[in-house]
Amino acid sequence: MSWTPDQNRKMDLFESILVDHPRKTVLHTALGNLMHDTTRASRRYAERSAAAGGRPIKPEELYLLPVIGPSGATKTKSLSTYVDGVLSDPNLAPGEIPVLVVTVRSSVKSTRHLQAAILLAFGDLAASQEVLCQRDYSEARVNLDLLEKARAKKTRIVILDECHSMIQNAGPVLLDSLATAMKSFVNDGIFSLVLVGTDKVRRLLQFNENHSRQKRAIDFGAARLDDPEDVEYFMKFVGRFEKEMLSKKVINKPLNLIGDVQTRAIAFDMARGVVGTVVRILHLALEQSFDENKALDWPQIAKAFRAWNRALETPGPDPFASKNGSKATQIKLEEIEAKAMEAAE
Amino acid sequence: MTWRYSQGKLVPLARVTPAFITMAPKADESLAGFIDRTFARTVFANPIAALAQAGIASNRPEFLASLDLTAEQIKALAVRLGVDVDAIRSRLLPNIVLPGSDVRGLEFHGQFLRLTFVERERRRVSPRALEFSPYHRAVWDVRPLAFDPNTMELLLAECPVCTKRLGRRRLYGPEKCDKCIDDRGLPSTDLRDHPQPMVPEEQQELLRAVAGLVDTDPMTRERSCLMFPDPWRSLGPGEIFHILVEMGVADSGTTGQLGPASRVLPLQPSTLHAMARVLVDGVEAFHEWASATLTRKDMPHWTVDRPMATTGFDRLVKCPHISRTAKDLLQEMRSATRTRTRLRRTGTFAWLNAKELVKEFDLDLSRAQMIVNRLKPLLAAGADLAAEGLPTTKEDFASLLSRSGGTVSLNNAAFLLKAGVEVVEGLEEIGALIAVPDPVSILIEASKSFYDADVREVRRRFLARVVHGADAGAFPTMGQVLKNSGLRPLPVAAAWHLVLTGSVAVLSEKNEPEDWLREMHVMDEVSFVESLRAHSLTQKVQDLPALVTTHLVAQMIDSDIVAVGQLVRN
Repeated sequence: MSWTPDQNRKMDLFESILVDHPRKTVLHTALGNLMHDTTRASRRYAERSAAAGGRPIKPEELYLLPVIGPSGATKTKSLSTYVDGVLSDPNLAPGEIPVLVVTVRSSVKSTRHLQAAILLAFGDLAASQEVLCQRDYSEARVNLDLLEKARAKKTRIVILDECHSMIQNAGPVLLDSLATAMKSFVNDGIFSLVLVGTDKVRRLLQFNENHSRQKRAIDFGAARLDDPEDVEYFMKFVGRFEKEMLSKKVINKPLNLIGDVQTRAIAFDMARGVVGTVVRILHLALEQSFDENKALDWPQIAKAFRAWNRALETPGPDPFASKNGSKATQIKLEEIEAKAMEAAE
Repeated sequence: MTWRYSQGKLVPLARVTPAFITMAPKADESLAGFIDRTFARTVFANPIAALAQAGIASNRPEFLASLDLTAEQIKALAVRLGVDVDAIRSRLLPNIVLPGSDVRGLEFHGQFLRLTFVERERRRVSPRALEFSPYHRAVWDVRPLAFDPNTMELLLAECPVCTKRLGRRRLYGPEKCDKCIDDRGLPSTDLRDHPQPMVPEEQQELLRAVAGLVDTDPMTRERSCLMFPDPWRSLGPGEIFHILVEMGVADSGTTGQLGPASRVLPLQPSTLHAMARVLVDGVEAFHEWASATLTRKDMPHWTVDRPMATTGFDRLVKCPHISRTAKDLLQEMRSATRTRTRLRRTGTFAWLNAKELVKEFDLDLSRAQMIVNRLKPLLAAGADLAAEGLPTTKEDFASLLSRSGGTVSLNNAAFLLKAGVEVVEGLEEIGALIAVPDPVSILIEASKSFYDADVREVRRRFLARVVHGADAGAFPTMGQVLKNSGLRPLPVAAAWHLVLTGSVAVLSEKNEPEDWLREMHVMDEVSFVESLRAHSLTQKVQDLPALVTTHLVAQMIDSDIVAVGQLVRN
């Protein structure tokens, strides 16, 4: 059974909806600062290097910026808008890559693999293969190559996306060596690193080596009920998303996702505070409504949620199970809102 | 030998891609040096791996420039290095043979160079030149040269830190030692920190011209060629260079062929400079060198494909790497000088042979040889022989020889006169006694000689002036008069001449006085001393030379030579 053209159009419209993550501006500011800091450090290095007559000198240490959040927290999306913005700068010289995005695969099991992945991202397939199979491998030598490439392409920031996948099942030894590898990139003044991944990335940062050059982590994590600001950004995001759906005529009448405290509590519990999950469940619900050939409404959302929840590794409680399914959340939200009202007055 | 590097790494020629970072080669950079510089800061530390990425499989990457690369391989290499095909092609050193023979060599930037003259596995650098610009100059690979032609610094062949030879098995950059590695696997010795001694200032100009003969730039080669005079200039720069090096090798006393491990190369800059000076000074200087230089004959040597050389010239003529044209020129030059000698021997002066003269004129052999040795250079000088009276035929010689009979040497003449040498010299000076004239004197051993008859005639005339008188003892003797005259040095020659001319009356108790100073007495002492003072042979103290004989000193202090000897010793 295929969708009607009208359904197709609706799905396209749904997918074209772009609502910025509330943390996006924070991320962009942090990346901008990181870029400036790194540029200044490279300039200082270039001046010192010129003074030393081209002889090798100890480069300045650069920075680590962790971006941590669960999958679906629109980390990658928010980063890519920044990267697109930088790379489409008309002032950029041809061939210049100020920001390089490396998507780390789970096959990255050592420093060597990580270096090969970065070389591949630069577009040097031959060097990447050479690193993986050479017998006289020297980490410093490959770092030297990376430094040259970074200098040639004016690369200041390397974003290691899906960083958690390389330490998915890592033991202490591998963790240690990868943490040291990152440290050596930063220490050798090659480029600043942005580590993007789930909570597991924190394991890399626990090492002392990486603590000293670390910038404040950008948290794309779930909104927490004990933080009023978190709750506010979650609700704002959901409200904005629903408004977009209405204006794009994906739905004809409002769902009232944040209409009252009860629905707000259900939406929060359903997504467990993660904004990306709301979008995903709504996507599933829209498909469900197409299958049933009905307008999108709460029953479809409930069905979609259950399908989603069932597929999770650790299924959470179902807010649609009973009237009081999200009572606890509701009470907390009421408290927060009451405080906010007081503060406003 | 099979190619041992993993087959999986060899990139097919059609799929070779440019290196991530490429650079432009310098005009005088060698191919190996350019590859080294390109990959020095990449993951490709192994030249074999770096070349495999260019589709070239080789276990001896140092020999890359001389491998017979196909056009496709050259193109792929150019693609990998990001340069023109021509930039690669001009830096290759393909195998060629010496024109007109089957002697193998290689083409070094457009001219033939002997195989042994090119460094491949070893690397030599000039730290000062690297400081100026860190790339490997092609001319550093020309083994006979021990210096960098631009900075005139001696080349560094061994790492000053690890004392190993600089090589090419790792790509660490031209300015780094390829053996010194720190614990991170990066090169730790920068050769620019170890400047080397310089070539002496006065040798620099000529040595720069010598190095210019093998420069990569044809214009420089032509310019350097002009430093050498004409028979050499016409040979071209490469030939001059080969001749110079072979001369240097001969000069250092080496026998046999030069191998890659030969200690003679690189030549000492001073040796190369001396050889260049020989060529610059012209053909005569070359012939002098060629006949004077002997290579050592007592060493065991390699004579299978090259006969033992005996002189520097032979070494040049027998060297297989000097072209036929150059050898023809050398032979021609030598035969020209030989022809001159042969003409001299067989032509006009054939009679001038010591042994024949001995037979013909009944001469002493030593005297005959002396005559030949004296006449030969005079005749060879080719002056106006007739005007100088030099003998050009055997008949002339016979008449000259007859005039050389009955002569006495200077000392013998003094003996005959029973007077001192200074008297004979004085008489000759004043014209009273005439020495044997010039062309005849050549035939006589003594440096100055007189005819016997003349000397006896003078003696006879002298004795004729002496008046015999029994009362001669009443007058002072000649010796006393001279001493009392106050004239120093004693005017002996003048006194003798005055007696000869009869200007003074002398008495003697004997008819023929043997010792004229003691046995002859002067009658009028005062007028004698006056005429002595006026005589032209009388020397003044001021006229004496700076150094005088012991006899003269003894006269000056009225003493004898024994006393002078004592004074000198004390």
